[in-house]
Amino acid sequence: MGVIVAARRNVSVSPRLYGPIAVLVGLLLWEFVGRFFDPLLFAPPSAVVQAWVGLVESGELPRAASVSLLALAMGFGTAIVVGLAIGMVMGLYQPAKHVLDIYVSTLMAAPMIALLPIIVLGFGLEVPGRAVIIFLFAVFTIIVNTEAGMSSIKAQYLEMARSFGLDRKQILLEIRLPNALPGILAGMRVALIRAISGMVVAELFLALTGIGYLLRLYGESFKTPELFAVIVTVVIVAVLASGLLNRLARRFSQWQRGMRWE
Amino acid sequence: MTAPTEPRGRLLRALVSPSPVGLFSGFPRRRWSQKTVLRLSSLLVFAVAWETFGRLDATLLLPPLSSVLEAFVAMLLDGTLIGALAVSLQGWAVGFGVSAVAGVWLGLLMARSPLVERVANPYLDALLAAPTIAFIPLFVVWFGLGLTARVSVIFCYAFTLVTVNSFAGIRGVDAGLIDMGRSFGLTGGRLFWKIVLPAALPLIVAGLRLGAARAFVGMVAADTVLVLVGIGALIAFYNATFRFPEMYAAILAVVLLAVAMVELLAYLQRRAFRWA
Repeated sequence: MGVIVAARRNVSVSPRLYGPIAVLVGLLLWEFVGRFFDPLLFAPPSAVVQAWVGLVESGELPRAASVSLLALAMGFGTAIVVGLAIGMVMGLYQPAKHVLDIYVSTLMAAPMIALLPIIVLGFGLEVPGRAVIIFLFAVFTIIVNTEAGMSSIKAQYLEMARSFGLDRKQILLEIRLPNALPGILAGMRVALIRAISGMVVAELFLALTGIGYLLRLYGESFKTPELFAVIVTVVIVAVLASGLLNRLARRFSQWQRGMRWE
Repeated sequence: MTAPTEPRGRLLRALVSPSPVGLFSGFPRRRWSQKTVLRLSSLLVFAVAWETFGRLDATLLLPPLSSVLEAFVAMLLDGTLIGALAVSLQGWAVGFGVSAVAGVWLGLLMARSPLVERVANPYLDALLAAPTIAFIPLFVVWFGLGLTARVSVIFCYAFTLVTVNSFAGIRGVDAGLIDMGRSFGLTGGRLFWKIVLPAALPLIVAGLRLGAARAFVGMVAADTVLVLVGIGALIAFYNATFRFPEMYAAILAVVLLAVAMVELLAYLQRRAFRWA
């Protein structure tokens, strides 16, 4: 008992290090289980890293990633443009909101995967079809968040803007957009994750190219180190991208922080 | 003063009224709001457009709405839809049930112990950001193609949301409430059950609601991508045999069920927490 207390006092770990330490311990545990119990099902991290280096050096992973990212860029890019446009129209004009609301909220709640066969019938399995799938996975989240950001502005801000003589365009650009931006960026973070899901689904289930094909190939041949390497790559890319959008959202919401408790 | 014998309900009053147009004149003339008119006409335009394009389409890829609805009713009556959905919803119920229990429990542990919170946070952050669907091939390797694999996919879809929300709910309980409970002599378990849990319940239930909806998405993913069973198998079967009205009807059933579930849970939550 005394020893434990003493040890605690000597090795004072800063609370900020708990997270990295937790990850490190998790990795060590995984390595241990993988090595000594079941290397087939739990490929140890060392083997996964080796497999990852192999996949990169052979050019397999970069090639697959470029195929996937092309469709992702097209689908997500279109989703941003269309989602912002529709969301702004819905947020600024009540009639447009009433007309479109039922479709947006239905498709927001609906499992998009169930709609895949229809998209394939309409657009095929090549890049247009995959981009459309990614687009549909992402666009409704962007619409909903843009609409919410546009319409949830405080009446005082608008009154103030009018009393300073701003016209409609200025109100939109200088009052409404900055007010909506943090929400829009938060929505884009979620939309990006959904877009990546759509990308993987399209490739895993339908087209068998890119990252999804690698997942299926290594899953079905039980090459777990390679399978883990591909999954970890997808997860790391998703985490980095969502962290980036998170930081952006926080930066653009800084001005709101001081007036939260008014 | 009205006569005491007059029936109270509007419909009943209209039915027993001697006037020939009683059924309609009994209702107050209500002007439909612009919102309702726009919504209904939007739906009507959509339905008419679908029907028209469906009839014009020579490739039969888009069947007219009427034949989709016909197939929908037929499949509902002969039990095809209900049978397939029952198989799918089995996985949903187990997966969501386990994730609800485990998520609330982990959220509680995290709220009570800073160590657990700091250890769990990096993993939860990664899982929240990661596309769950990418893990499906791994689940096949680990659990095969049976109910276990489907349940674990559904679990993963719902678990993080439930955990994060119940953590936020319990952590966010007003410190003043807890102080008050303490000053009334509550400690430990009783403090938790009487003060902390009721105060945290709205957010916990919100997390469960989001988790249930996510679990439904995971269910469709598992039944389509992992292994073709239930409603996923039904859609794939009609797709492969080119029976498009039936395929659209099955997809419609999934969409309607998802929307109904989201709306129902939101309604129940509003009803239950009117005080919050």
